[in-house]
This record gives sequence, structure tokens and C-alpha cells, in this order.
Amino acid sequence: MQVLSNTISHLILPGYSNNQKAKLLHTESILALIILLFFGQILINHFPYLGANVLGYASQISTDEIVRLTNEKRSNDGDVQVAYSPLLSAAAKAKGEDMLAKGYWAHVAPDGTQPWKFFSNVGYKYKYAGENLAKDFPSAQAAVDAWMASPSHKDNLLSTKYDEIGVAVVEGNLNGVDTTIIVQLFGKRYDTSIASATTDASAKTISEDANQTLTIKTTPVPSPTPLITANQITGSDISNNSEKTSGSPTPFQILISPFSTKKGFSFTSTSILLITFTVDAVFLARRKVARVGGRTVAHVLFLSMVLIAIILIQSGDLLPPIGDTIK
Amino acid sequence: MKEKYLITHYLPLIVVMVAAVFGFYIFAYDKALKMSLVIASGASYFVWGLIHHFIHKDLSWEVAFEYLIICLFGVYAILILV
Repeated sequence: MQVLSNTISHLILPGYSNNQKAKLLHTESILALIILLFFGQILINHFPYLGANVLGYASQISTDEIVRLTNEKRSNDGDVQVAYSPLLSAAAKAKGEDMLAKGYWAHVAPDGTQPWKFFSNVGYKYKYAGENLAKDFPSAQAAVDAWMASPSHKDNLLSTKYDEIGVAVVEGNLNGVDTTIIVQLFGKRYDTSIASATTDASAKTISEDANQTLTIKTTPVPSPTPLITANQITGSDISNNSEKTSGSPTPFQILISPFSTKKGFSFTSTSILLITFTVDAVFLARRKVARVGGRTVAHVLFLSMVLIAIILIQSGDLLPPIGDTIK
Repeated sequence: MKEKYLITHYLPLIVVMVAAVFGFYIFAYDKALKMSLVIASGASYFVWGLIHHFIHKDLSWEVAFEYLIICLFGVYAILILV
């Protein structure tokens, strides 16, 4: 017990044994922390290759919410709202599943498949098409906020070229990591665009098409079922709008979130340093010990900034948006 | 007098750190900008340390290394999350 107490005070309190500076604050200790973080990160990144089931981010994201938020942003900007298109949602779902099946995080598949192929596969003939991709966001609001914060995604989201939207939230194993991918597709039908300036004959066709569109619009938006959460991945719930293709983990698999684990490492190590520096400063001030070295106040300021930044950083990744026009 | 002297020394560092925190908040989803912010704030802290100790005439390799290692730790702790 005495040994443990001495060791702890040697680590966090300035004294005779550590040359009046907590051992944790010695440069070699901080260097060891950096090395620990480095190897911890490597270990987390290589968990999938060790057979562990790694959870990128599982969250409750509904497609309905994404459509609602998108239209809310468009309304706020004075733009026309986009109509929900089951066809575009089917294309979005096919795109998401293709990304999981082929293991890519990009607009274009490794085999060269363009995103527009998924539009044509479901029979959606477009004049304008656009795609926004996001992954590992904790909520629909966070994803839409991220798109709005990025000027190029914002342009896609608010573009008046589009009048229909389709969204899919697909969950599955992407290169060994359980990931939630949001595929947001925008489109304007080719037929509809011709309709605005044509003859009666074509107007009739358009009218039929408009009826079809009306039918589509009035089709109830599938009530999005929340995705499986991190602690619910038991293979029990798979919604219409989401797919979990990796299957349920066996009891022998480890479920970890790389981002949350790394955040935990960073937060803990920074907090330990910050607390130790503060305790060190208080003890030095009380004992009135003069010490050659860096300014503790400066270190505390810098580490406080680091800690706040770590807390502020959220998970989520975006790809630059992409669009296509048929002339 | 001493307090005023202290504040003028620490003020630039405080401003840089507060600006970095605001930057992280405002550009939460801009990966490149966040990386630039953390590297810039780390570099600022390191350079501030060198200048501060140079003015105080107590700059040594040990002190410079202390700032460098804490700077590396902070920058790395954030960069692995960006």
C-alpha cells in the first residue's frame, strides 16, 4: 500500500524523488504518452484484420428526417421544396449497398461504376442528378448540418435544378468497420423538364407523367425505422430503409467504435496531463519552489485548448458532392 | 507592473488558443481547416514558448524540448480524431 502511494505521488506530485516535478510531466513521460497514443491508434485501425467486429458508427438516422431537414433548409433559403421520390430512394439504397459490397467510400466504384448507373437501373431518367454522401454521423441533423457547412454540398442541397429527392441510410461492414452511410440523391426528371415547353401531344405525355409523379408523391414515405444502435446490434432489427449487411456479431466478437475509442484515449491522456500540471503548479506555488523549465500556465492553456477541441470534434465524414446533367 | 507585464506576455497565447477553439466550433466539418488550425495553434504555442523564454533569458534546449513535446502531444491527440 505504501509502495502504491509512493508511486502515485511520484507520478503526479512534485517532490524529492522526481526532482520537484511530477514524473508524468517529464518529457520522457509525455513522449511515452505520444507513443502509447500512436500504437493505440494503430491497434484500433488494425482490429478488423484481427477478426474483431469494429463499429464505425451506428446511430438512429431516419431517411424521413433527412428529407424533412433538407426541405427545411431549402425553405429557409427561399427555394422550392423537393418531393420525395421512391425511385431515387431505391437508387440511393442500391448505391449504398454497392459501396458496402465492393468496399469503397467514393462516388465512383472501383470497377468504374458511376453513380448515375443507379439512377438508370431503377428507371429514373434525369435531366439533372446530384449525389451527396456522408458516413458515420451520429444523427440526421448532424449530417445535414455538415452538408450545409460545406459550400459545395450546400449548393447541391439547395440547388433549384432539382425537384426530387431520395435518401437511403445503409448500415453495414465497410472494409472491416461497421459503418452508417447516408446516400442522398437529387434529381429532375428528363420528361418533366421537356414538359415546360412542348406541344399538346407531349403535354399529354407529360400529363401522364405528372400523374405518375403525383402518385409517387402521394405514396406514403416509408416510415423510417431507426437504425440499430451501438448496443443493439444483435441482428434483431433491420428496417426497410436500412440494411445491415455484416450480420450480427457473435458473442466472441468485440464491438468497438474506432472514433469513440480514439477520442477516449485522447481525452483521458490530455486530462491526466492537464490535471497533473495544475496539481504541480499548486504544489510549487505553496512550497515556493523555483524550477527551471517551461511555464505551467502556458502548458495548461494549450492543453485546455486541446481538451476542448477533442470534446468538440464529432464523428462523420463527407465526400465532395457530385452532379450530372443530360443535355 | 508585474501583472501588466504578465498579461501582455500571455495575451497573445490566450488569443491564439481561444481563436483555435472558436475555429474548431465554427468549422466543425471542415477537415482540412481543422487540421490547419491544430497545426497552427501548436506551432504558435511552441514559438510563444521560445520567444517568452528568450525574453526572460532562460531559454535552453531542455525548455525548448519541453514545449516541443507538449506541442507534439496536443497536435497528435487532436489529429488522430480529425
